[in-house]
Amino acid sequence: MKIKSLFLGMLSILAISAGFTSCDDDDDEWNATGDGQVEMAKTRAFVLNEGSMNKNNAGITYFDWTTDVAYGSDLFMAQNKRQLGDVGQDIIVDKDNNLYVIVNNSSYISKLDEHGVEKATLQISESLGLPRYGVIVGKYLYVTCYGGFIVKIKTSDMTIVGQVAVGKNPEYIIAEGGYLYCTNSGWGSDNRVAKVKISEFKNAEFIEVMSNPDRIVAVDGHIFVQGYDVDYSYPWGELKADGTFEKIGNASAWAVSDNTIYLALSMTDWNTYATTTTFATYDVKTATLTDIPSLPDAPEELYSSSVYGISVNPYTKDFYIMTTDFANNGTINHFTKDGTFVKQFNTTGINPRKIVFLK
Amino acid sequence: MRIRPAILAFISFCSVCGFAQTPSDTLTDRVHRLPSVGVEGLRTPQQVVVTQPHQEMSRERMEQTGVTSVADAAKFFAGTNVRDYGGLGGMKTVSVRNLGAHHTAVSYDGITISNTQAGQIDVGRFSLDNVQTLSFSIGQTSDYMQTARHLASAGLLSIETERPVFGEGKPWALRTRVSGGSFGRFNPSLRYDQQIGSHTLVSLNADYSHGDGNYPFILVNGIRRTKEHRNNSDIDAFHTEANLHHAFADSNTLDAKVHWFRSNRGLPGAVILYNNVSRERLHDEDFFSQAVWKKQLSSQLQLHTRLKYTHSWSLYEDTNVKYPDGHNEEINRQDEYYASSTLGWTPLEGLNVSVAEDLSLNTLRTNITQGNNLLPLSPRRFTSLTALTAQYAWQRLKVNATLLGTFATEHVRNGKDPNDRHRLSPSLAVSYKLLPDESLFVRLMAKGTFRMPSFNDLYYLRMGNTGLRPERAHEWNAGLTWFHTSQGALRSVSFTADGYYHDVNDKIVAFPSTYVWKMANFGKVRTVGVDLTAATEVSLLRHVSLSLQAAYTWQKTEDRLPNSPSYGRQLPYTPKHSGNASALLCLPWFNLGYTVLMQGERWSMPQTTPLYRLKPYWEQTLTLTRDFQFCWASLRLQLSLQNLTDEQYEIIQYYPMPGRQFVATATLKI
Repeated sequence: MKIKSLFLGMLSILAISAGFTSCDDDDDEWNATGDGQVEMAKTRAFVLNEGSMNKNNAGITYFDWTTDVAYGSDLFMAQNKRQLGDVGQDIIVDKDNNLYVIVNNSSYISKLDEHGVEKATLQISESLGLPRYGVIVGKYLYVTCYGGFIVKIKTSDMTIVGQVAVGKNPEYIIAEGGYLYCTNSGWGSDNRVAKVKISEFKNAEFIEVMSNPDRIVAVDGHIFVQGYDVDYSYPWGELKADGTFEKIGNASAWAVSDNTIYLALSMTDWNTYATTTTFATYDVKTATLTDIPSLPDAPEELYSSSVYGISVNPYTKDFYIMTTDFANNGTINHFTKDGTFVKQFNTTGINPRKIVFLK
Repeated sequence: MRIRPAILAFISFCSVCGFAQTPSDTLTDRVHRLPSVGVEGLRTPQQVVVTQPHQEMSRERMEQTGVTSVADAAKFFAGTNVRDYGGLGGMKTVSVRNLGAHHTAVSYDGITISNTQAGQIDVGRFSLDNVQTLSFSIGQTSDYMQTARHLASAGLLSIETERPVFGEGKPWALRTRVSGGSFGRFNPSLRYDQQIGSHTLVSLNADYSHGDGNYPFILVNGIRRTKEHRNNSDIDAFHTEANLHHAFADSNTLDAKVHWFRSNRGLPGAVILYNNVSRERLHDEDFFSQAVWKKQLSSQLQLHTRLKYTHSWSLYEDTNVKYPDGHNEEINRQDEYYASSTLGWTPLEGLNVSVAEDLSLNTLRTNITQGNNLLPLSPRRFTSLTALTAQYAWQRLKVNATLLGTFATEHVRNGKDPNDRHRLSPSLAVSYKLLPDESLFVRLMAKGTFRMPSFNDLYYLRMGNTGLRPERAHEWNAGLTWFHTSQGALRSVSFTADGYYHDVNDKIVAFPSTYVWKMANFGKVRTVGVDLTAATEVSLLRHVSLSLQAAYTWQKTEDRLPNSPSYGRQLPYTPKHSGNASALLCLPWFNLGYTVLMQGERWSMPQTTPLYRLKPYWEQTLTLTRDFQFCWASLRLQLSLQNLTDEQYEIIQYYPMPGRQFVATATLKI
């Protein structure tokens, strides 16, 4: 008994010290499996594969961002022994490395730990509508829901603590300058951005931008909005402080790195059925849009593939372009910060749309 | 639950009456007709003689083997691929050798049914209640007096309804039937036939069917296996039809009918993990009126003329907070005005020549608006089909050749009209009897067809593409058929084997683009396959006989689009192996029917990974039939146990099929 309690005492001391040391960035203390089954590098990334509607095939691909080696099968299934669900819409990471996965058509949000092991779920009720996109502000996750709401969720216990009505079919959401901004697509019939003061979280103001707005992003105090417009030409531009919207270019996918927006535009010619993707960057500081005719060493098929998402690794500033053919597993093209091609690899699911990077 | 007492009461009423029969008419007078194809009189069945693959199923066979719908019956034909979304209300379409359901024409008493909006026919809506024969032909049938539309498709599913039959000295007949079963199935029907004068017959039938559709299924998700129930899968449907058959003094005939169908059903959609909310509903109504007039002009000339008017209406509704007022309704109205005439000429023995001309006008009105401002397009299509057919039979050789010309022009109210379309589609079929005294034939068939883009393909919200060309299909078939009869216990044997090559070019598919998909002439598909059928009749004892039928299909259906990532891979939802068998044992006391349907593994996506794999299935049904003959009426009691092993399977992924269920039916004929 004595030996056992001594042993337990030593263990607890060890555990406490481990607890302390895990606060600093010491790689030696990295627990490769955590509560899960899959061994991971600390330099890990999680790709959200949207899947295809009504196929319940959303999933997560794990890869080590120092080697670009991906785990061979769906990570969510490997860690949680069940499928993620139908239509993976958004994945968000908080400062404690918890992941929040919004599964649109399955109408729930899954909270995962830093190894992708599920810790809690929140089912979104029919009265709020299917969940779309989210943003973390402090200890809260704000999620747009298709019934026309921004829902405030306490991340510690995944409970809904408030909601604000916005327009129908709200899409992407950001937090900037003490306000939440979300686009209201209205499924093609709305043209506004809703603005809600975070501290009050009561009423929404509306600003008209373009028909059928979709994406919204804040860079260095500037807000940019992208959408479909009536003719599906994917315009984007700046929502200025005075409430006016000024078109800058056309893009179907984008990502932000420091003060630069990486832009891709994939368009299909309906006479030849050929898809062409063009790239550009926008420097927010100087307000200059630069076309990128080619990326060094990039695979030729990148320019004829549909880009489904771009994500930037915040630790290296490298960017990753995700492409899809909508039927087979997606492809990830890794580029360095200066646009040089590094590696191409496949995801474990259809339609990869976003990557979150952890360290 | 409410239905069960009613059925029990009905059955006990019937059995009480059953005691009234005299012992003498129990065994000897009971009729156990062998209900299989062409066995009556043991003449060589159609499927062996014709130049194109052709299969039939009679009313008796369907009834006694527990087949309860046109879609289920179609699954027993070799070479069909029935897409079944499960349950009574789930959509069911029939495709010929994986060419796609758009290439299959469905004919109802000699006139094809059209749905210009969807381009394919949901056969789930037809009741088997008044069906006499169901037949399935690949290519076309060899009737040279058929309409041009019958010749225009790659395959034909033909529904022939019952004609009135009267007992001796009685100018009327009444049939009433009640059927009930698992998952709230309840289906009463009534048919009345009357002879008026010596040349006119009228018949009236009506049937109602209800299903709760909340059948259980096992949902497998990772290591979880949960028992779930289908949700929002109920249906109420009502059919009624009136028929008039008149024979003129000069032996010309007129057959006319009015048909009305109405249904209200839930659309359960795919099973979505973690979210079983489903509120989509469909109400639809279909009315048509048709007349067929057949006139013998001279000993060499005959003329068949048909007229038809169809009106279809559908209301789709959904309740969801995502809509501006929480509710969405889409209403579609289609009309068709159709006229067809076939002039046949028999200049000499063995030679038939015909010319058929079909004219049709199809319109669609919809409340679905295009974007914010644009009004509905309201398309209107005028089609002319002209077919020349020549048939020649000389000694043991038969030749059948057709040339079909199509012209279609279209007009939309708001927007650009698509180009007019002209096409010529030839077909040639030959059969040769190899031995003079044996029904052994070789047959060859080649046919080129196309299908017009549907209104949805052309105009549907954002996805529609008015630049679409028709989708082209080619069929090549070579087969061997054999039929043999004997006086011994083995009364007959028939066998058919067909090998084929089919392809589809300019296939109309939803072409994926970054966010907005559009219909496009993009696909290219090739099918190589073998269809085998066999049937036999065996007399076991004096009043005991056995009839067996089986069909097997091997198919390789590949994506042949150059540079496609799935080039050379089997197309989704196309099994390599599929087959079925049915047995009917006729005993003096009752008849026992058994069927089995199977499909090998399929995938729901071009990727052949476990996530998209649909496992092989075997679905078995056992049916017990007993007939009672009274002096004033006949009664048939039936109990059918469907999917008796409770096989859990899907034809379309995440649309589970019902497990074990029973259906009890009582039919009283006066």
